[in-house]
Amino acid sequence: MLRLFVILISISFFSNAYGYELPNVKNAQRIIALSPHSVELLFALGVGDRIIGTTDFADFPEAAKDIERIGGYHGIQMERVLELKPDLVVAWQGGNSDEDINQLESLGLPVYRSATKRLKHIATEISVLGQLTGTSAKADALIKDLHSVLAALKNKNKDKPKVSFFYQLWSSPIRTISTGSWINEMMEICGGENIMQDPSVEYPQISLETVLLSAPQAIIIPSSHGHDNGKLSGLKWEDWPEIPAVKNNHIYRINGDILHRFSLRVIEATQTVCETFDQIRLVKH
Amino acid sequence: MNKLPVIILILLAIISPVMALVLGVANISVSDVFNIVCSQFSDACSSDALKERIVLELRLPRIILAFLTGAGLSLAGSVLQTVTRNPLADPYLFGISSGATFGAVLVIAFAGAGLAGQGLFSDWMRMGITGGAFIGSAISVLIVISLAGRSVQIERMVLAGVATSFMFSAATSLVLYASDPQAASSLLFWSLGSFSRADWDNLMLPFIILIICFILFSGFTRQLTALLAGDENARSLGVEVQKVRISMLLLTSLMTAILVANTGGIGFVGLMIPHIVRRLYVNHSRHLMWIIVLFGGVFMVWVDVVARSLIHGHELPVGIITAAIGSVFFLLVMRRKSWS
Repeated sequence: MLRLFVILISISFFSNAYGYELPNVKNAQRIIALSPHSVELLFALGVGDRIIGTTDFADFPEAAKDIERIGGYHGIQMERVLELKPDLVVAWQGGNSDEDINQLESLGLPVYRSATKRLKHIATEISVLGQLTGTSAKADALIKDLHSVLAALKNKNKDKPKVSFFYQLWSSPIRTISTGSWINEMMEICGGENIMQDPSVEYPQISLETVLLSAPQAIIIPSSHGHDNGKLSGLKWEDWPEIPAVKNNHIYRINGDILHRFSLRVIEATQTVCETFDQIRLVKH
Repeated sequence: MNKLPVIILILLAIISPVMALVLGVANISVSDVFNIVCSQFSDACSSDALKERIVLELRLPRIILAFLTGAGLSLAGSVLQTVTRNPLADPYLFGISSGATFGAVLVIAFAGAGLAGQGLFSDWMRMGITGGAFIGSAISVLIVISLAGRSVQIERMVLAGVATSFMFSAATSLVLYASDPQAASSLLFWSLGSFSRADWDNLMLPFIILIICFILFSGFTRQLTALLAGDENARSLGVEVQKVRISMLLLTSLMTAILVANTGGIGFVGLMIPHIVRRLYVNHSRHLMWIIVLFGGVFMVWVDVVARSLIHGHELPVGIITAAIGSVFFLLVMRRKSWS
């Protein structure tokens, strides 16, 4: 029992903020990045050319499309990963399956578990990737930049009137984000007020009645891979002019890739959201 | 003949839709519902415009679709149980539902890839889904009938149906696997059944097919009853056994396909309701078809109420609830069989 306790203590002592030990890598040259956002961040750090394998949806920047695909939503091709002899694997806790990540570790590969949950974790992520690839100076500059842009946007929008919004993540079933989701943090920076105020479920499924009753001023629809555009449910907002967002034609599609990835493109996403909310404020209600 | 159970059922069929109109996320009372109904016919009553639209355009079509689906699937199950003399027959057993589900899922997945973002999308989609569902279920029926042998042996039909059902389920799983995660979750939700897509436009087809099937089945009551006594006996009474059996199968598959296309896969209702009705309404064999339709409809209205109010704000797929209740019932039926 005591031994177990000592082991637990030492694990927690040597591990990073997420509770996992960082691999002992200083200047990784052969990287396998198992998520679109880590690919984007590695490119931002100027080491995108060191990525030798990634997953299906990693499509930004343009150069990322040429990287070999070694897996996707349904799993990782372990044999190919071993063949490529990476000196760093950036796994995605929650995005890749736990079995796959555990197997990568048990095969003796140096695995870093990216476990982003909040907006602030993008900075953590950049910092760790900087450490692992020997680009800490660049990482610090990027983080400083990210913080200053977001702080400026927050400051600019903090006294503006609130804009109530419904975020249509998916239409069949209707799924949205709540105040507990990190995407909501970007909306909050711009003075948005989510109609789903229950933070206990990040991505709740709700009924059309809920949207009608909360009468949002804006409907935000992220457009991205495989979005169903309401085709299954036949969600036709124009049938419901009782909703202010519909009456004033305030239904906006914003690129879901920039809104949903833990990358530096959240800057662009937040700017777009803020501009959208500004347009809505211009209209007198 | 004891009339009380029938009276209770008729009362339930009147009260249940009203109760279902009141229950939901939006707070709407019985008097609201009364005012809304009243304001349709007279200027003396007034009602809140938003509540009126919620009741008339969201909840009412949904309740009607639930009723039609419950009634239709129960009727289909009852007829299938009779023509095959198999107490466990229902649209699922013969692969009709899984064929329809596969056809519909295929259309959704492929149209989703090719036509995303088009304007008049959902109407085309709906027609495509109905067509796909019907073709899928028709293929199932053709396989089952072609394997049934010249004398249309029931055992062979059941086995062929089970195999067909598994084949189509596997194909559906393959489509789900090949879709991207978000689309897969939508397809999965769809395949488990829901009435949330109901609106006035898509009620017409299920309504018409239910009426047609009901009339035709009623017209065949004599032949169906004769079939219960065995093929030989039916033949000696002048019933063309194979023709009756195959036309009943085709009719039930058409009805199931139309219902599945509008609601997704809802299992076990067709199996369960006829058994409950036969047990509860022992001496009402003359009106059994009416009772089955009403009972199935009322049951499904309540299943839908449970589906949308069990977890607040969430909508459970209807198929999960019917299958959960249905499978327990299935086991009870089996247990009784082993006793007798």
